[in-house]
Order: sequence, then C-alpha cells, then structure tokens
Amino acid sequence: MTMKRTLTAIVLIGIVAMLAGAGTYAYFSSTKTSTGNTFTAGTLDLKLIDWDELTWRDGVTATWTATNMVPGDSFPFNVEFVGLGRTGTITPSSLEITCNYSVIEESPQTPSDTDPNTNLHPDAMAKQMIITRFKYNGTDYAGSIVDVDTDGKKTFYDLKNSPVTGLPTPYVADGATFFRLSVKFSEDAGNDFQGDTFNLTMIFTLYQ
Amino acid sequence: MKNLQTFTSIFMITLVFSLMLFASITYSASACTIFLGRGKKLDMELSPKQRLFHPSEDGYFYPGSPKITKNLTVCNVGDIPFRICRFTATFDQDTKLANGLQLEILELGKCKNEKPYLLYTGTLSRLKRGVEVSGKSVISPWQSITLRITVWMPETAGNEYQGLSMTADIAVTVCFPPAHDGGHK
Repeated sequence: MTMKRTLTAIVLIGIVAMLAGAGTYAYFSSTKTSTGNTFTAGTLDLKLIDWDELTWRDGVTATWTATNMVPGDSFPFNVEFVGLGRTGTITPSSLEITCNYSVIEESPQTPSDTDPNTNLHPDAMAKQMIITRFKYNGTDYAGSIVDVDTDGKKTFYDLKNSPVTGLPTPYVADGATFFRLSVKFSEDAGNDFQGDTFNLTMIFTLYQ
Repeated sequence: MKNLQTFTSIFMITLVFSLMLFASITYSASACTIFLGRGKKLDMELSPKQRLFHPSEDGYFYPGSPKITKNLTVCNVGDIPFRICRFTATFDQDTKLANGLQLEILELGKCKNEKPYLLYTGTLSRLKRGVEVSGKSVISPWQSITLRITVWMPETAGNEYQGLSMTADIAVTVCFPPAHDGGHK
C-alpha cells in the first residue's frame, strides 16, 4: 500500500514537473544589440532685441510708449524698433506677426470717462488704435492687414483676429531684421477711453 | 512509520525535481550563444556593427522632418534555424524624445518580389518595455534577413522635444524553434 502511494506521488510530481518544464523551455533565444544610435531634435528659436538695448532676449518690453493720447494723435515712432534674429539648427520657413492687448482702467475713475469698464471689452479701444506703419525687413505690410470688422481702418483688433503670415524669416541673430510700427489714435475715439491705458503685446512666431 | 517513509520519499523526489528545474532555468536565461547538444548552437550577428543613426549623417529631427531609413542585417551564424521574435531598446540622455519619435521596422523579403513584412510600428519609447513580434521568415543557418528601420518625427509633435538628444541601443532577439510560418502573434 505504501509502495503504491509512493509511486502515485512520483508519477504526479513527474507530471507537474514536465508541465512546468514545458512552459519554461518553450523557446531558446539569442539577442544582439545595435548600440550608440543617436537621435537629436533640431532647435528653432527667435530672439528679440530692443532698439535701446544690446542684449538678445526671448522677449522685450516697453518698446513703444505713447502718453496722453487724444483722438487724432499720431505716433510715428521713428526711433523705436524691435530687432528680430533667429538661432537654432533648423532653417525656418516663415514668420507670423500678431498681437494681443488689454485695457487698464484708471483709478480713481475720471468722471468724464463714459465707459468705466473698457477693461472688460478691450476690443472697443483696439478698434480705435490704427496701424499706419507695419514695416518689417524694409517692407511696409500695413496693407496686408485684413480689415476684419470692415470699418475702413487697419487696427490692432484686425491684427489680432487676422495675423500677418508668410513673412520672410529674420536673419540669424546678430544680423537683426527690424520691425517698426506707427500708430494713430482714431479721431472717432470718444470719451469712453479717457484715462484708459492700452497695453499692447506684439507676438512674433517663427515657423519651421 | 510508514507515513514518515512515504513523506520522506515524496520530499526527496520533489527536492530533486525542484533542483533540476532551477538548474535548467538558470542555464537558459539570456545567453547570447546557446549550445544545444554536441556542437549545436543558436547564434546570430547584426550588420552593420556600428551605429545606424546619428545626426552627423541624418540631420536633426523636427515635426514633419524627412523619414530616416536604415537597414540592419540579421545573419544566422549558428547551426539551427530561428525567427525574429522580440525588439527591445534602452535609452540614455533625453529619453523623453523617444515619445516623440515614431519607429517602423519592416522585414524585407528574401526574394525581390516579396513584399516587406511589417514587424513593428509605434513610438520608439514602446520598445523600452520590449515588443514581441513574429518574424515572417525562418532564417536557416548562414542565411540572413534584412530589417528596414525607419525613424521620423510626426508633424503633430510639439515644441516639447525641441533640442533634445538621446541615444538608443536597439536589441533584436531571435527564437528557436521557429514555430510557425508567417503572421503576427
């Protein structure tokens, strides 16, 4: 009886071991490696330099400043400009220029400011800020700005909603390509904007 | 007493089988060359032995950049046939770039008219976990097969990969027996 049990145990263990073995030894394998493959993504970077600065940066501030604007005032900004230069390992194909803006209401409020909430709808003031010169790399592209709201004026509202695209790429940084801007505060601007500050951000985007 | 003898017998047999099993597992793990009996071995070589991809020859990757294609030959230098069964990769430096690169591996046919057979397509990063594939051809001793490896950066890749650089060691594993003839697993 003991012998029979022992034999049964041996047979069972043998079967289990064989099954385990079959699962374990299904494949022999050999592995070799191709080493040292290097993948590098290119770089494309646009740098800016302000007309009164000597350092290339990712962004510049307060290039064009107009104070005490009244309806009908023109600001030719003959001295001020932004220089654009590119760096990186990829040659870009085009440049796009657009803008964004906000309005800061004066504090305390000017009694004659008939719209104390222009900051909530800055488009209203942007529609009165006319772009009279939009010169990039020696060419004035003001005519290329689409009059989105068909009011007969090329304004920052139009530029924001219809960027100027397909511009030639700037030179490699250190050989700057200049961007110049002239602005007029429309005669149609009323008392809604008295005391308000129009804060403009010009946006330059380089495409590969 | 009889119960003790029975238990001892079972214990000894189990111990012997366990040791055999352990020894076998240890032997078969991760050897590049495996000897099967007298003079039989599973072995292969890759060609070229030097790197396939490098920016000095291929340029830089950017969204929508041209695809870079290289050939890697797998040669059976052993005595038994095998089939390609796995790809794995290890990365170094800016490993995030592996998410932004697409990889395609084709097994080229042995004849001119035979269509290339897709073994893998997906991100390079997926190879880190290892990818089981099922090579189409059985590669007999002293035969070879060519893998066409293509790498590119899709147009949808964003600025997050700009300027990153990484190295990748791509491992090819072949298996015996070459259990079937064609088709994905």
